[in-house]
Amino acid sequence: MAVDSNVSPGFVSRHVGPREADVAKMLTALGLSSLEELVEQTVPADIRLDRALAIEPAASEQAALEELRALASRNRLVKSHLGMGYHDTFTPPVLQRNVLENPGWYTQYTPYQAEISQGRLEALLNFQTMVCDLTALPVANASLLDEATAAAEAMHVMYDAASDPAARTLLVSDRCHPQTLSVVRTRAEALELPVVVADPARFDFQDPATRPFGVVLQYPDTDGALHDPREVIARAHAAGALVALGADLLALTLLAAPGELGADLAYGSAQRFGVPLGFGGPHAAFFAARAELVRKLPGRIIGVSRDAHGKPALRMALQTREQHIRREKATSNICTAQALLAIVAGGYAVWHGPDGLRAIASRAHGLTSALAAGVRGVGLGVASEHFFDTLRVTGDAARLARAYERALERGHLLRRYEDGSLGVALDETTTTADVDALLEVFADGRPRGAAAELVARAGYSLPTGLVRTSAFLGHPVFHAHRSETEMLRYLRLLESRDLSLVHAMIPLGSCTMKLNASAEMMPVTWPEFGRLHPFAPPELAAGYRALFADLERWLAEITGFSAVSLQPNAGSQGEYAGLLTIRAYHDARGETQRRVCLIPASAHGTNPASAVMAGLEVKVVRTDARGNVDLEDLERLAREHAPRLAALMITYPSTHGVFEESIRRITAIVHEHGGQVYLDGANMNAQVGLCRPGDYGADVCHLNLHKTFAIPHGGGGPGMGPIAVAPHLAPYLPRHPIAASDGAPGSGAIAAAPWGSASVLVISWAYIRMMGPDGLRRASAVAILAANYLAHELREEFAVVYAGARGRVAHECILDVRPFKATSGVEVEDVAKRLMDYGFHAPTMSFPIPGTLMIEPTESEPLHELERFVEAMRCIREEIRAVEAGVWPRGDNPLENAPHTAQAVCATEWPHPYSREVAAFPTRATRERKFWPAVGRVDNAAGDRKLVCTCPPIEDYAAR
Amino acid sequence: MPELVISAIGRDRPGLVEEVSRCVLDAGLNVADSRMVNLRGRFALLLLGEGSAEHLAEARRALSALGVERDLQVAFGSEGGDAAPPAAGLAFRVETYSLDQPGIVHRTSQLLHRLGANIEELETRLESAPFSGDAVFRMRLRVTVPAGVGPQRLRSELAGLGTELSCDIDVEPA
Ligand SMILES: Cc1ncc(COP(=O)(O)O)c(C=O)c1O
Repeated sequence: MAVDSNVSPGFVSRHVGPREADVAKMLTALGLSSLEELVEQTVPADIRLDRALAIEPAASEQAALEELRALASRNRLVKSHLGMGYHDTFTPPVLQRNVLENPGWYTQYTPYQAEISQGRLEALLNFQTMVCDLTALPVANASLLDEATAAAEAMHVMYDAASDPAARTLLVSDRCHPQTLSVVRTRAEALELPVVVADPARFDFQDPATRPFGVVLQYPDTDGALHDPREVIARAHAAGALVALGADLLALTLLAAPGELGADLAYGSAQRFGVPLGFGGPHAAFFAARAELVRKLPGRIIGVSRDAHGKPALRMALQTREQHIRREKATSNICTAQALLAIVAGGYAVWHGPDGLRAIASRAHGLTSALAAGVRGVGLGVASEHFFDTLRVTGDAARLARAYERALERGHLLRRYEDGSLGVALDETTTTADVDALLEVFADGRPRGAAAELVARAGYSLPTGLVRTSAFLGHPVFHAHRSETEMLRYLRLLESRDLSLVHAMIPLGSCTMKLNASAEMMPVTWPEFGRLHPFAPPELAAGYRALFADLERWLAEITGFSAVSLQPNAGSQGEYAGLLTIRAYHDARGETQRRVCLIPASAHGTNPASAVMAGLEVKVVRTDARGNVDLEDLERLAREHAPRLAALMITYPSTHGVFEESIRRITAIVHEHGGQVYLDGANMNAQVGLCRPGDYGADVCHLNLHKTFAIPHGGGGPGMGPIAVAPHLAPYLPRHPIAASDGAPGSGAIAAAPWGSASVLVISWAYIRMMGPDGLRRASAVAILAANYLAHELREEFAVVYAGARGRVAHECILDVRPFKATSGVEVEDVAKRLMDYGFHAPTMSFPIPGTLMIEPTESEPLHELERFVEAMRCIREEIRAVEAGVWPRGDNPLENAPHTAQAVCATEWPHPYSREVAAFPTRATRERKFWPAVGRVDNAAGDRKLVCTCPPIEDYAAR
Repeated sequence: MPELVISAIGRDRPGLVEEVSRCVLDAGLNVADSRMVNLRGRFALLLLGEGSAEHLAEARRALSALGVERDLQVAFGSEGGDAAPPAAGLAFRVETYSLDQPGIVHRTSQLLHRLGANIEELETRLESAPFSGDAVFRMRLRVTVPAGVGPQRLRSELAGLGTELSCDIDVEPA
């Protein structure tokens, strides 16, 4: 099948950047006559797919959107009162339009390049400040994948910090959300830590058989009841255990804060702060802790530091905790998190301010109190005296069953407990009319009070000891944006500091920063996709179910596997889920001793970190001089550990950007010794339609839908990391306590929601639907072409570190800048920062090889953008030459002083030996289109020495 | 058996290790323990050799000659070997990670000294961190800690130092 024959026009030619003539030009530069020839020289013959993918031909944008409309209409929109950590919310339009639906925000990358990321760093710092204030704990991260995994992360922190190594039990309150219980159980089981689910008030903390290292509580309880946790916390502390409190952010505006109650950690979901339900996500989870625990915190922490000019500047702090550096010893495997959603939640607090939030909470609480009074008035019970916004209604089972059905008929979805009682959670969107409708249903013909009157009469139902007395959100940022004009300008100001795909290509190797097309993005916030509760019964989500079925079928075909789990919320979580699946498979065969995981030295840090979380022991496989897995070392390790071999984790094409010729041999070696092959699919963008993991011996792989399948990176999340598996592993995929199970053995839940961040799956669906089999294949081929073209154009300036057997790289290439350190003192960081002056985001730095740049242009970048990048890199090489030649001294040259801010360039003093024009406008392209870094080079070490992870006093901002 | 510690420093180039090791071998020395490293283009070698007095003398002569010929600074030491009794206690591997900043080696070794621990091996490396590109300073140590101190105390003392110096510290039994 020819790659370059007769691709239907339409979306494919919108998605793929280079025009036909450009493709021809690039091929000619490489001495090739066709894309097909390039594929033949790049993808090993013994793994090439010799047929078209069996998926539907491409649909136009219009047709795909119409199909999505039809799917959306099959979801039934109801008001959800299920609660369990998911509440409907009114996304402030100013945030929806200007952040959530704005490519200037959602196409950003994780803010590793702080100087061109100050906007989102500030937004994320606002989020952390909000979390610290509301929880009354001094340190917080930004952010985690969901509430249930945040609880599991809390378990890890507590286990790590516990003073008594003999304490191995985790106590989880039986009032926690069911999905939290399930995920925590899964995570604890893998580490062989016993979990006791019980009423903590009756738990014997002194029993030596169940000495807990940590306690997980929910506040308020999953059924809405409010209990004072102080006594349990005190008893836990007396027994040497730590306590994590799962909290509701909105409730905390009225309730005593976790830190005030004595909790060591607080976690929960920030969804109800303006983030659509989305049938499960994406949402940001928050995580806060006592100061002493800061180095054990999982995920990204934004901190305050200063730049080269001494001005305050933000950047990610304490990065040495993370898996990129500490690998299997890291505090967590988390990588892509939920940055965009944390930004929205923080923005919601900026927009409403403390008084606005308190008003929203008071209103929801007032309506709930009215509902409780009304429910009692019609002869039903309310399970707890104290509550915030959620009730558990008790009474005659038949009457309640009728109420459930009648409520649903009227568009209100209630939570059904096993004992027949009904849960009702109210929220920001609930109206008096809704309360009337609910009362009508509960009254079942009996006389009842009117909601408006009940509201007027109902008081607060918060116990006095738990009423919040402390102030929060005192920082001016939470007070200065009450008018939409102010808010709009603030959001625009932040956005303008950040370089995203709307400015230039972001050629990050291993990250696949391709186009996130508008047509793919639009449906995400349609109410039929956006406002569905993840635990809504299947008949209400028929449209979503159909969409999942399509997507599962397509992803299975693309990977050559037979079953797919859409649960994992990121690649890291996919790795974890896949390894658990492998583990469950071995265990089911009675081979419970298989616990060794082989991982090449060049693997991404999430691989070893995930393996350890899955209870596996990591053995590192060497890479050879050509960057490939050292086959001898692999054989030796596989043989040595054969009886205990569980898996090999391998990335393909390799993290070195090369299609290893020996991939079949590699997978065979692992199978010969009883192991399974886990394929890290981060580099799938080089494979779609060209070769399939299932065909060359992998047993399971994850796909980063936020790389290959067009979900935007959102400045560090959302993401999705579904896994696909071979038939023999299908029975062991993760289950979910709330989604219907077919009774297969399965692994436990690994995410809070059954289909992860369901609403962004719409994006990948639309992408595949509009690309079709030919378009997908063409995208892979052009991605490979673009990488090879860049490698070729830059080969005289920079050595390409690795290439495949026939001299071709895959969809990315690694350029060496290490030699310049000796010749000029210029390091990889200087090149990266200097690229900012040229208007580019740096390629991936120092991964997988320290001191190198890994470039991945993707298929979406037009040829002239590739040429602009080549020009910038060549100019930078000339600048290095000038330092080498002594024209500019070491230590004072445009590279080491980069990036140059407008302020620095316009300053009265200009003490440098090069001109201001060289500093800021080194090329014609920069004169036509200039992106100014907001701050000078950020001093990372200074910020780490004294961590500040909340908004600094306003005077510091003024100093900017 | 008599022992000799040999150190050699010079500009790094291919073949250097081969030349030095051939000298040692030809002199009849047995290599008991050694470390060699390329420090940004400078080669540094530390080697403990065993052999008869004649072998040691021959090694001194041959290596000194090689030093002159190849522009290597060569030095020898033989004092003190037996004086230190083998340290009794528990062996640990300690690893620190931090952004580059002064004082980590000193403060860590100071703390270990206060605990009565002996540093058997220490290695540091400054490397550009994946993705962020920050200069990350790593130190790996092998230490023997007196039995009285115990793993928990070692861990908590090091964790305290980590907080103070803003570095992450892993401790594992060796
Ligand atoms: C090779 C590789 N593996 C795994 C991951 C982890 O994926 P995620 O960030 O989605 O957790 C990444 C990307 O970040 C990667 O590049």
